[in-house]
Amino acid sequence: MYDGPDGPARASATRAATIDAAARGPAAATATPEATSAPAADAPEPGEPAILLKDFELVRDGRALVRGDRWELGPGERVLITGPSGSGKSSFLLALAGLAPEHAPGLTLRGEREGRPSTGVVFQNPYAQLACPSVDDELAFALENAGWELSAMRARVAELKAQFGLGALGDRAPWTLSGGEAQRVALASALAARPKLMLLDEPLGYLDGEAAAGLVELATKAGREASWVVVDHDPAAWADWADTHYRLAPDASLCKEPIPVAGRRAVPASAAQADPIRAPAAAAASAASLPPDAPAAPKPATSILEIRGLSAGYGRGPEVLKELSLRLGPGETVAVVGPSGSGKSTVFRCLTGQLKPRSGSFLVDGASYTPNKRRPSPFAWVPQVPEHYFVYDSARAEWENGAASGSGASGAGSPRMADSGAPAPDHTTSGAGSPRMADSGAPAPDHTTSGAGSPRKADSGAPAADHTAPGLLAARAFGLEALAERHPFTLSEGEKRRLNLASALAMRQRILLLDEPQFGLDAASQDALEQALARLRAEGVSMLIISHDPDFCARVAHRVVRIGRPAAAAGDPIAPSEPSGAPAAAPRAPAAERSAP
Amino acid sequence: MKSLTFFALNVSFVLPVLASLDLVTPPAFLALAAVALLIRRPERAPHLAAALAAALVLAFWVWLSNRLWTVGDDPARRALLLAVRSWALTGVSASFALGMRPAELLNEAMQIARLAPRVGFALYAALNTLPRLAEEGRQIDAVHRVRLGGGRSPVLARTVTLLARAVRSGERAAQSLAARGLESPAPRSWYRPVAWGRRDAAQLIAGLAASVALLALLVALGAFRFGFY
Repeated sequence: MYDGPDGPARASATRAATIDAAARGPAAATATPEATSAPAADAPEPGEPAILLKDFELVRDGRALVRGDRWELGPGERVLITGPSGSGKSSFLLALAGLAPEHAPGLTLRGEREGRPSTGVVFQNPYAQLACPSVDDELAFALENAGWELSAMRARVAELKAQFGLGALGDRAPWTLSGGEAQRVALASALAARPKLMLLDEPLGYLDGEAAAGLVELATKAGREASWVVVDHDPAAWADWADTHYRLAPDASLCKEPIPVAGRRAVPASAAQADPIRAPAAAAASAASLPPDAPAAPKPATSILEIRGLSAGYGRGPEVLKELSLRLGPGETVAVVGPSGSGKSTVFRCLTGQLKPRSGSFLVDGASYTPNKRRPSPFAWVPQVPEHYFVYDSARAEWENGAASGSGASGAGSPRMADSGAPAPDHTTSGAGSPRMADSGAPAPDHTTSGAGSPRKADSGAPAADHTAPGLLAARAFGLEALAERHPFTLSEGEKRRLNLASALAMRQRILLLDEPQFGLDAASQDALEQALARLRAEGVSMLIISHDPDFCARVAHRVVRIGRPAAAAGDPIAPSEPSGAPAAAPRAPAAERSAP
Repeated sequence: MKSLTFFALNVSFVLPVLASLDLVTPPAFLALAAVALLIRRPERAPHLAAALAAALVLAFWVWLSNRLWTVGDDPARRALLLAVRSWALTGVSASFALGMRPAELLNEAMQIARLAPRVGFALYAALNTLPRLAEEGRQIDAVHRVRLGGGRSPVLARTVTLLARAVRSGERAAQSLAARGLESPAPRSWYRPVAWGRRDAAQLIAGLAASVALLALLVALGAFRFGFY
């Protein structure tokens, strides 16, 4: 049974380290976290603290987010702060940066503070923090504010471009950069004026594995001229970099803890319990040297979705996807992984009719399928940005109308969940969730206000089917009932993602498309997501997932298909046609591809 | 010609067009706007020609709607006057858009016209946000279409989502700018310095003089007729 979002949310970094060590074998499991964490080679010199907080309390709207008797940041020290989403990590950074309360209304740091060094800040979303017309201007911005001479500015900008590999991007507008490029620009521009304090707020959140590793390396190379504080929900990426690790505890205290072991994030024990197909997989995987949490692949005789030789590009540009073929069996979960720009999202754009393929075809339930964005689709699609999915103004309305939308999407050839409780064309929705659809050209369902989940009586007086049931059941499964009356935008990132999944599941489509579902989630939310996906697998939902995180995919998918960057392809296929019954393969990146027995 | 000069001249061209209701004034100031564009960015001439041709469609629609539904004295002439003015206004606007570089204008406005950097960089951030919001709007529509069985994304739902994301993005941009010292009391320097020279002053004076002289000539000849509708 799903045990709610707060069960795994309490998992500490130490626990993660222990579990991870246990997952790697008995020898590793006996080692303490202290023993497995290596101190940084270039340890900081002792000296006057860059910042010293005494008897402090960070308060937002009357609630204490962080408090303590004493917190010190040494010169050149590299500090990592972890904690669940919404716990106040980012607010603490804003306070350290001196941006509260002027630029963070409602946030106040009380107590005694010594040290206000010059500061550079990097936020999670690289695009939201870049405000200048070109990369060169962005790099020079802090220097202009500090009144540098023009010649010194030019020299410093050139130096930064060389150091951060931005040489060819000087004239580019920030919004035209890739996520990795934009985050490099953000880090370089924050370091431009040689600040004494660097504050990074989940800077890897928007980056794929390669770009994230590159950014950590750049942060390492930046040296110890400044003291660094990094806030992240995944400590593994920073394990080799950090000198000190604090965990923001539920009681708002900063607990100094051992630096977590580098490596992939641990799998919560509860996830395996939630997934009936995990346990046999774990037994089989150990013999095959596969991750112990790998779900066992069903052995489908047929495919519910087949992609044959899909090639696609934008406008007259080069092909971003070339000759991709894959099959998705009933109840199977297949993940497509690859770095940014490899064409992962293009697969979904083609499947949902947003982009016309240059070549290739689709089969759904063995019949030819031509996507058309103006017609009902056989898919439920959970987008990368959870907020893009929302249509209604309450969580309840979202999940109840997930069922309604699914019914509206029912069309010829649309595979649906084959249960008898499939929703009928008119639906029940709550009074709390007034839909924002009045101006829509969409096939809006016949909404009737009623209490939560109460079945509606048909006009004839005969009892109607419980149309709300699919949504309500999905909401219960994802632990959302307590959030029913909340506006979707006020939920945490993890809750938003679970609400997306509940609505999508309520559509009762048999094929679920998930676009970077783990994106931006903290460890607890990701644990809850993985449990939710395990539940979907158990319900027999076929899922096609695209992600840049191979570790995540290895945990949730039966099979992983890796595609590479099109530039590297240079005329040869990115992913070859998948032989019948075999996992898809990519010639240049076989390491990430696997198939559970 | 500096962006700031070009901006000021276009303001001086568009005001007489807005305030006139005759057949001569609007085309005359449109011609001046075209000359200014050709001086500043001659490579944009074909684009202006295309824009003027496209503006004829709008002008025709204005003429037709006024011809059919306007009552009062001489509705045919009124429809023609309004159509010509619409065409000229569209042309002057197109000329301005084709000749303008927004980032350059903001840079000059901050350095020459003393626009507060806080305002200038907020506008820069907004310029960077617009393309991203447009792309997000397309993504939302795509997701909603799948969710709603092929129907268009509800305009209100899409607007609320975009507004919420724009507000958050703006908040982050403001924090990022402040963190890098935008509000620092230290004297500011410029990576792309611009200076207002005699040549710039001469260009501005000459352009404004041409605008005023043309208006005076049209008034003297009796061609200019004041009116909005």
